Formats: sequence, C-alpha cells, structure tokens
Amino acid sequence: MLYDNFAMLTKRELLIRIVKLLKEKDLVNGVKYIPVEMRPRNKKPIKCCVHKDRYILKHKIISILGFEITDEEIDLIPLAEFAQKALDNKNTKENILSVVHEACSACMQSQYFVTNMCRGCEGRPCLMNCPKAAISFKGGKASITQEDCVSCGLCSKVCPYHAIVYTPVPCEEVCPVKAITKGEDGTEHIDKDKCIYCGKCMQTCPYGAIMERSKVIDVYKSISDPNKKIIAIPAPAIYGQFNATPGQILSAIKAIGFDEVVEVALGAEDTSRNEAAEFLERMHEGKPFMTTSCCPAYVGWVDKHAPMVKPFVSDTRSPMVYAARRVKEQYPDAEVVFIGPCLAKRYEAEMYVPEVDYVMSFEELGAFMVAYDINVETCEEMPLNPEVTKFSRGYAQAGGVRNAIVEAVGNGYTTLSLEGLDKKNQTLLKMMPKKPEAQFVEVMACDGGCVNGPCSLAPLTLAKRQIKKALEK
Amino acid sequence: MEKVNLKICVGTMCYVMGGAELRDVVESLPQNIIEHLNVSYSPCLGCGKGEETPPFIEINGKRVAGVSKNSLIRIIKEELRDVV
Ligand code: SF4
Ligand code: SF4
Ligand code: FES
Repeated sequence: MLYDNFAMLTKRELLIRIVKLLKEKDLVNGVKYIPVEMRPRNKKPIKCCVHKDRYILKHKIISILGFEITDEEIDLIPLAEFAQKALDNKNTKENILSVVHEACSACMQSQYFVTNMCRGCEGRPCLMNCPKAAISFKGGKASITQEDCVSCGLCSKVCPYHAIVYTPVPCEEVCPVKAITKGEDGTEHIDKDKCIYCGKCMQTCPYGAIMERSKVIDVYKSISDPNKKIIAIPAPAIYGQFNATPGQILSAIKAIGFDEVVEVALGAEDTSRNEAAEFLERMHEGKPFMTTSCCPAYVGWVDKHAPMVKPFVSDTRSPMVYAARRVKEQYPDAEVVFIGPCLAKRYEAEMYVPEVDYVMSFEELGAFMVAYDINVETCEEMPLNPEVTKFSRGYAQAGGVRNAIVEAVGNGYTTLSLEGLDKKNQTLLKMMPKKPEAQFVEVMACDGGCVNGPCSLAPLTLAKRQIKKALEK
Repeated sequence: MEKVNLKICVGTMCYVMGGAELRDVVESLPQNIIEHLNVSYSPCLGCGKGEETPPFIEINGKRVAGVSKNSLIRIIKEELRDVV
C-alpha cells in the first residue's frame, strides 16, 4: 500500500475544498477556482503543463460531484453547471468506481524490458535461458520481442547487471480478479461483471485516476436540512482513524451535524450472535465448514468468481445491516449514513441494504472534519453504549470476527482467519469444499482487515495502535 | 545551551493532509535529540492562508510547509546542527 502519496493527497484536498464550499454555500460560484488555486501558474506542473493538470482536476471534481466522466460533452459544460446539477440531485453517475481517463496515464503494457544497463556481455544468460527465444541482440544489446515474450521473468532473474526490468501496470497488478484492463485507447477500463470493489486499484494508481463515487453532496444536504434527521453509523475501524479515544471520535462525528451517532459495532453484536447460531446449526447438520459474510468484497468475489464456495458462506447479515435496522426501527424517518474505510460497502449498501441511505468514506469524513473545524483531540467524550463489547469493536481488524465467534461457541472447533484475496488465498478457498482447512473461516479482502481498508484516513501503523488501545479498555 | 523550539501542528487539516504521524515521529525521537528540543503542539498554525500546502510545523519561529514524517527528522537535525 502506498503511503505518502501525493495523488491521494490531491483527492483529499479536492474533497476538503468541495465540502468547505458546500458549507459556505458557495459551491456553484467557487468550484471553478479550485483547479486554478491548486495548480497555480508559478508551481511546477505534474504533467506537461498547468493546463493539463487543471483539466485533470476538473475531471476529478466532476467525478466527486457525481457525474460520469467518459462523456466528451463535459468539456463544453462549466463546473458551475455540474455543481448546480449535483445540488439539485441531478447527478447521474451510476458506477461506484470509474477511471478518470484524462488522468490515467495509459501506462505501458506491463512487460519485461531491457534497459540501457545491458552490457551485451559474452555470457548472455538472458539469451540462453529464455524458453521462448524472445531475446535477440541488436547493436550488441539485448532486446525482447514482445510478441514472443510470455513474461516468465527468467531473463530478468539471470542478468548479472539487473539490466532487465519488469514495468507493471500498477492497477492491473493489484487487481485480484483481473477486472481492470487496457482498452483500445490505452487507458484502463473496469469490467463491472468482474469487479468486487476491493478498492485495490484505486489505492494503487499513482495518478489517482480511479475515483469512487462520492456522496458528500447528499450527506451535506441532509446535515444542513433542519427538517431531516440524519444518523451516522461509523464502522468499528473508526477507532483507529484519529489520535483520540473512541468517545471523542464519536462526539467529533456528531459535531458535524448528525443527530445521533450509533456504532456499527452495536450491529456486530447481532452479527456475532446470529453467526454463532448459524455456525452451530450448520455443524450440527454435518456441513464441513462455514465462512463469514461481513466483508462485501469477499462476498462479491464468491458471487462473481467462486460459485462453488457460495453454499458455505453464512447467511447472517453484516454489522452495517443490523446497525442500520436498529436505527430505522427507532427512527423510521431518519436517514442513515454508514461511515467506513470500505469501497465494497458502497456496493453492498446499494444492492442489498435499503436501510442504509448513504455510504461515506473515512477520507470524506476527514474532509467534513476539516471543513467544519472540528478538532477530534479536543472533543468531549461521548459515553459509549455499554451493550457493545470489545469483541464487536474487534471486527475492525482481521481475526476479530473469529474471536467473537469463538467467544460465543467455545474452543471446540477449528478456525482460520484469511487476510487478503491474493492468489494463494483464492486457491485455498476454492479448494475448501473438497478440502476444508477449518470449520469456521473468517475472510477479509483487506490484508489486516478493515483497519487497512482502501478509504482509510490514518496510516496503518497509527490505526493499528489506536485500535489496540481502544480494545484494551 | 539554547533549545530548539519546535511546534507541531496537530490540527485536523494537517492530520488529514498527511501529517497524522508527525506527533509519533516527535514522541519517538531518541533522548539525546529530545533534550535539545522545546516541543509544543498546536491545534492550527494558520493553514488556509497562502499557497503552501499542509502539514505545517514551526521550528525556531520559521514556518515549514509540506512536512512529511521523513522530512521532519531531517528538518530537526538540520536545526540542531546550529545549536549543538
Ligand atoms: S476494485 Fe478491486 S476488483 Fe475492482 S477493478 Fe479495482 S482492483 Fe479489481
Ligand atoms: S476487509 Fe473490511 S474494508 Fe476491506 S473490503 Fe472487506 S469489509 Fe471492506
Ligand atoms: S491544521 Fe495545521 S496549520 Fe491549520
């Protein structure tokens, strides 16, 4: 995962500026200044010139405002018009994730490539070891015929000068399901039928070209409408996001203007209870194993790529669902905003959870905190709900669900916690119907669990430490 | 011996814009460096003015913009060189 990455900061700055303008009720007028202010003439441009930089920012803004960016027509429409349309609820974006083609640098097709460090040595191990005869020598230097190359990497391994490098396409490299590929125009395209919304590509693209659909405008509108009741339900991973106590963090969220803040961990109490009961029932029926179902990227992976695992995924709903239901039971008219580190939750909420009105990321939450001048560290402690146990807050990190289930069903079963959907874990899972590795299997698409979710605000080391502190209490 | 005055912004803007770990960096400095510093934390060093980008710190009265956890150590060491 990339930290200290300027593309990520660009996105955050855009979010902050947009939420600030919203709060000042100046979005329509002010939005056009953002690209100029962020890329002034006297600063060195990132791409060829400030104009290209600003043009890219314009596209990213349009994406945040909730419009599809593929349409060429958007070049003719001023930002103010998009802003007005967004405020009027006329944003049309359907895709949860889209590629800002103007920003996508159309990275070179991933390949092995001979650099000019090649000395054309007498040994020529690259030539000798290439199984496909893809290497030839021109002017005393090695060169790879791309049509013949099968990317086995042997040449690169044997070159004593490290002269042969692999140039990856970063987003394609990290996608666990090959859902993102180059189109004819050279830029990347996401196949909706394959994508599981793990968010890896978005996190990795060094141009910040892959943008999620934002709901900041809708959330802002509800917060600022005195006739609406709006309730935030932050995911357990929230406790890792600030240098503050859980109580302070919850009251900071409330200070933005939410009428109420209810921990998703409260819903995790229901998930743990139901999941434990379901697990015991399935074991009783003689089923070989059961996996969790609270990570929507994992569930998406099963649905789209591993149907043989489907019968073994629990039917219990995620903590988000139960938390939202509890809120809606108490306040049927309230709007519910899930706040989390997760891109796939946007998909889950939209497809399966009518009780959740909006999904907001921790990054977007951070933008609200800045715009509303909230300093988490100085916020007062909000009393925590005594119903919520540390096992439920523990859902924030990998192993948390397993711990909660073991707590409920005892130590008599074999358990396993899988982090990340890398090749190894994908194979392991696909084999499990034939060869179960354990009776209870927790699966989190993110390495480390939600604390390492793709829309996190705090760096991982800090987040882990803060969660540890929160759970010790 | 004179101490170096170091003010770290722990405000929300700086936190969100990449300064989340600045406090950690300072708190984990070795004793032989800490003893030469007068550290204080500020809720905001006045971001939003000018074109400079957060996170900000102030060292001996000078404001430094765009500080990262790596550059912070460098900045402190440089300033210490003049003192020690
Ligand atoms: S979100 Fe995940 S599955 Fe979808 S394209 Fe990106 S990396 Fe692939
Ligand atoms: S591990 Fe957590 S943050 Fe990551 S995709 Fe799954 S639910 Fe979302
Ligand atoms: S928040 Fe750091 S200078 Fe304002």
